[in-house]
Parts: sequence; structure tokens; C-alpha cells
Amino acid sequence: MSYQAGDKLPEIVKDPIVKVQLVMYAGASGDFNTIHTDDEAARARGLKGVIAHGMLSMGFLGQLAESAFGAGSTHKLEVNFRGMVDAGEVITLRGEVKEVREDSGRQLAICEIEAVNSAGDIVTSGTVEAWMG
Amino acid sequence: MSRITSEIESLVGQKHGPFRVTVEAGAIRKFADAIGDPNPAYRGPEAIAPPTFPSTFRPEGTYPDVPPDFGDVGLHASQCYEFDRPLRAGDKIDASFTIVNIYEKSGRSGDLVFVEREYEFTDAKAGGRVGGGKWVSLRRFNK
Repeated sequence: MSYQAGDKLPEIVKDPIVKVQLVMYAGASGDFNTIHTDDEAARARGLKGVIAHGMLSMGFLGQLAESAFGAGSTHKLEVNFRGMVDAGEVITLRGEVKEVREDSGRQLAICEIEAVNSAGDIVTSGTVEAWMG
Repeated sequence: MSRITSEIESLVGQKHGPFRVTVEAGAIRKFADAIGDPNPAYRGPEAIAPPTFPSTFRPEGTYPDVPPDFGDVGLHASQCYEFDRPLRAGDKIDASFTIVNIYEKSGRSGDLVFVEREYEFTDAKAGGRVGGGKWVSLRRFNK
């Protein structure tokens, strides 16, 4: 798939983040911080309940990029974590190609990407540089 | 008053690793399942690893870090991964990370101390860099 500057990446609306997904992500990633899996522990830290791993939202943005450009196309993925994501949230992933650059004889798409919660707040945002072809 | 004591400052430049990790097909599939990413390329014996898969490369034992009780809250500020080629099932990767910077800012909710680490991933079989990245965490001292 080839994209040009100004093109939007196909939007992805994730399924609601159920608690078992956070348990799965803890196991798969090795991040066992209990604020992601144990409501009691999360409340003891001043949260309403468990929150999603920031890296899960970054993983969602990896899905956005590699769904658009193909598995293994990521050259660079860089994000800032801007807000917490509660369990049960529905995250929407969006991206836009800002520039297409020639690099080592290949086409590199530079995109702005963001993960947005159901209230419309950006929870994670950043850039991805992906190879096209 | 600076929150960065000489003990904290001395962490800058400390390197951990390299430690060796084997990229396993089953681990890639479980990682993709947890993200809810159905891409078939992340499944099977020849699986490609999704771009955030290196977050699974965790050192065993202790590694240089600010003490657990430093600050009131630990948060993740930013994360970056770069690849010279995709990681695949069967890769053996030597991973290392270095604390490259510790700095502070004053925020509305309190003082913030940022810890920046850089990663490097090399191919243990063929040699050469396959990627790297940056991980910035922060500790907040509540007002």
C-alpha cells in the first residue's frame, strides 16, 4: 500500500479494554505493576481502579502503523504518554502521513499518530516512520 | 532545592547488559493476542515481532535505577523503538541499556525527575545492530 503526504491511515477502533486484557498484557510483556491488574492496589495509589499499561496504548499504535504499512515496516515508533487509560475504555487510533522521504533508495512515510479515548482526549501520541515497499 | 542528589546523579552513564534474549514465536503470538492485533504475520513459526515487542526484553535481577521510594509516583513519559530490520522468531538478541540523562522540572502537581535510558539491540548470531530505542520515565514528588 502506498501513501502520500496528507493521507490518513485507516482508523482503528479497538474493542473495550477489558480487565482480562490487562492481565494478558501483563503476562505477555512482563510488566506486573499491580496498578494494572489489581483494583485494590490501584485504589491504594489514589486511582479509581486499574489503569491500562501505557505500553498497551503504544502497542495499539504499532497495530495502526503495521496494519497500514505491513508487518515489519516500522523503522521508528516514538510516543509520549499524555493521559491515563481506565479499564473499559474504547480507544480509537488515528494517523496521518506528514511526509514521504526517500531514504537508502526506499520510501519512508513519516506519520503523526494518536490514541484517543471515548471522551476525545489524546492519551498517547507521537510519530511513526514506516517503510513503504 | 534539587531533588537530584549525588547518588542519583551517579547513575548517569551506568550501563546494564548486554543480556541475551531469544525471540520466541509463542511469545510473539501471546503479545499480539494481548494487544488484540489479529495480523497473521505475528503468528506461526516464522512470525515477525510487532514493533513494541522489545518491551518484553527484561533483564534478570537488579539493574541501575533510581530507588523504588524515590518520589511519590512513578510514571512513563515517553518511549521510542527504532529498527534496522524487523525482529523475527528465532532471533537471538543481545540487549543493553544505559542511563543517559537525569533531569528535573517543576510541574503544577510537584517536582518531576526524569530518567532517560537508551537501548541497543544487537544480533547475537550475525552481529551488528538491529535496533535501539529510548525509554523516559519520571518520578513525581507530590506537592
